[in-house]
Amino acid sequence: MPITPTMLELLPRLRATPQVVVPVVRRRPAAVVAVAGLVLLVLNFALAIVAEINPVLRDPAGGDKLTKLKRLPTPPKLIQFGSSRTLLGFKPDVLDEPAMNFGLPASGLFTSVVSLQRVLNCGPAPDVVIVELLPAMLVDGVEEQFLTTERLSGAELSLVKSLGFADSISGYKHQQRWIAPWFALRTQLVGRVMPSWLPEENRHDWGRKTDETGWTTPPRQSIDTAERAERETKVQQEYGNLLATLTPGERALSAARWIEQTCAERSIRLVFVLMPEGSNFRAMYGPGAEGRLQTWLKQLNAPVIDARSWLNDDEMYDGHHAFARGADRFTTRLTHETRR
Amino acid sequence: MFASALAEEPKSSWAYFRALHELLPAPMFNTQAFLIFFAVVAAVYWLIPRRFNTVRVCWLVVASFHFYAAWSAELAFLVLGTSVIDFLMARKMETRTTPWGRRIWMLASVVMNLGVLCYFKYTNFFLDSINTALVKAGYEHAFTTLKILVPFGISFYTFEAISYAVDVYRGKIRAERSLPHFLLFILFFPHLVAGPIVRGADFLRQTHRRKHWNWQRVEVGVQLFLLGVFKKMAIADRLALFCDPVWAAPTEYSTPAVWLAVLAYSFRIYMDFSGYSDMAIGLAHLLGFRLNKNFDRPYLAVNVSEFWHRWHISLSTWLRDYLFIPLGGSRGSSWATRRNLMITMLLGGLWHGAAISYVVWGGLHGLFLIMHRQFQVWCKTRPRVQAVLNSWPGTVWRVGFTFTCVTLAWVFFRPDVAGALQVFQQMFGFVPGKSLALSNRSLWLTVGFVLLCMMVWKTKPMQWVWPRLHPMAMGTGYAVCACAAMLLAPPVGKTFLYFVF
Repeated sequence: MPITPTMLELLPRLRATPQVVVPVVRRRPAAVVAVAGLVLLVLNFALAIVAEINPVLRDPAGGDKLTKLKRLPTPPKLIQFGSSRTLLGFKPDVLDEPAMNFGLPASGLFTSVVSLQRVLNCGPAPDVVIVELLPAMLVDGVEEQFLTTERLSGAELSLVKSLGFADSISGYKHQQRWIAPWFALRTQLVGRVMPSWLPEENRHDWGRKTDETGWTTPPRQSIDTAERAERETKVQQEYGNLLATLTPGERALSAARWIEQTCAERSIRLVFVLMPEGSNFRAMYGPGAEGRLQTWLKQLNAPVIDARSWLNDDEMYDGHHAFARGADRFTTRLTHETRR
Repeated sequence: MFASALAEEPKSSWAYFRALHELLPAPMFNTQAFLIFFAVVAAVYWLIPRRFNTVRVCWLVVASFHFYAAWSAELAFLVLGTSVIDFLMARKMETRTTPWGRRIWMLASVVMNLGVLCYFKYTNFFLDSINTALVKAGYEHAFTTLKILVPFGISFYTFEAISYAVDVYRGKIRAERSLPHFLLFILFFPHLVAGPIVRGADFLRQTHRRKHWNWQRVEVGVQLFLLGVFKKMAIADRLALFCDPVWAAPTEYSTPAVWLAVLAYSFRIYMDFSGYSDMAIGLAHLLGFRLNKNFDRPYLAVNVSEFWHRWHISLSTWLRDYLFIPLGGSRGSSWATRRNLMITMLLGGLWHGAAISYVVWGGLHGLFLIMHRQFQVWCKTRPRVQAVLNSWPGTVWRVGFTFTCVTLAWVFFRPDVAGALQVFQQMFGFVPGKSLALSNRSLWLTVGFVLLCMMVWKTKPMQWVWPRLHPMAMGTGYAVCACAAMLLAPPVGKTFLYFVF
């Protein structure tokens, strides 16, 4: 099929085989590649080492709490460890003694083990430790999806693994932190420097938003019925299936036993607590779930305070996270019960 | 918090390939698993003495097959099988002395490849279209859609096989004598999944050439690979954070938010696909092969015709050589030229995806090209208009206008035409709604950075400085670029948009 000059003029003027731009000046490409490889190795190794040493880099939320703990004028006599329920529900400033809220979102007993270990390593031990039991996180394999292992140092990972933590569930993130730390720790680093570049749930900046005692509260202190219903529906989607068939497992029990043993060795008074839940939330426990939970709780040696019905529905904004007024009432009653 | 979803993945019935899938779960170049795979393949390849070129070729064929089979062994055998048949048909074609004899073998090869493409990619599209038509005509659904897993890259390698058959038929190239070399042409893993679409005349010659280790080529390969990784991870996947939520529920977002999401989508597609192409070209360089450039800063095009000279070059030249020209090109009347352009672009749209929306996208581009041709004719008799358009502000205006047209057309570049129409409704309806989930500033910074790079890259000072940089500065720059790509990658990685084609 002949191609006329007119056709060629009208057709796209493309080179059939465009050339790759190669440097005009010969500049020792072997040296460039070698330097690139070496610098890449050095940058990665340096970050991996710094992250291993400094928890703020690998686990900003937990690291921030430690920093705040160290800044307190008087070492706290009481510390509560737990999840976002603790973060919003335990308000140390209503107490007349120094206390600290060590709540971290999506935490179960393994996270509490790690947090307790970090607290004990960095200063004087408190007199009383309260550890939240989040029922959904007591199920084997659930906490592993949230306590991703790039957040842990080598020693911390060994500790939780010795208690049955299945690090395979969250993938090979700890190894990845050593091989490619700029990738493994990207949300931690970007969340620290430019948090607005990340979706809110990936920012790792909950620790920064708390007051000096580690407590935080929702931005609003009231909610209309429609929004509450919407939030409770979301909570239902998150927790419904797990609570319907709730079966607390052995792994959480080993973590709880380690906490009991460590507190006993340091002469720390330990109390476990089930945090307040709204009426709709409590209705999600399926048949037999409560019985299985109670059987599991009976295996603990430390006292357990069941605070699930302590707050009214209007004192929480989604059925399990407290408003400030709910946090006031809960904290006062909890410390009263703990002392008793 | 506890909700999770599992993506559907093909499961092989062979334990060997299931194990392979565990090792290399996704055919993505920017994963640790792939980098390990590539390091092993490249190391063995270069360790094979140069004089055993066929052994090297066989090694790459085996590696490429495993690369595909790790995703789906059954479909890897399908690609292998059709490639062997293409090879045999071309050999047969060459033995025929009569034109009709050659034509029959050429048509057989083309029909087989198009048949495979149509079965896997378009069967359900056609069945759905028939069902819709029947329902509209008052009948019930007549056909049940089939559960077909579309082999990734099918559109790319079938086009390569078709161009090979046609080139052999036209006598542009001789039929390849060596099966391993031909298989490497089709299966070579850097271009297998999403191009660039290679031509037999260009690639087969390279497979026969004995290759020396060349540090300059290695540096170019590393440079392009890192550039691609940066484009994909730090820009394309990041921009997905802006557009994906809006695409999922456009009616929930305000007009400005939807406009920003469309802008983000436009840059995302470019960065995603050109990033993949850069990685593919870089990897090929590391193995001593040269793949053709696929993108040339398309968003700086001053008209849609030029856009198609700069966007997905391997496809646009393929469509030109094997569709537009055989249809008659621009040799006939202006009506015939317009018709040929429209047919080419409609089929080009359909090539991208089996959905009406892709056809609409192709149709829009066909329309733009026709309008541009008409405008060019109109301008020829108006030198003052031409002068204004060729001035600096006129050029900026033309680039902006072309970009706007292309970006608006991208709204249809997704399988859901109803969703695309909703996006248009939101864009032009001036409606209130949610704003984007992430800060707009980060979007503007990302887009601004891409534009700046596009404008600066080919300037004279840059072209002078770049090759003269000290190795230490250059190497450090590459390492920093790699770290920045890893750092800026969003929490969840995205698959390549063009994998679905």
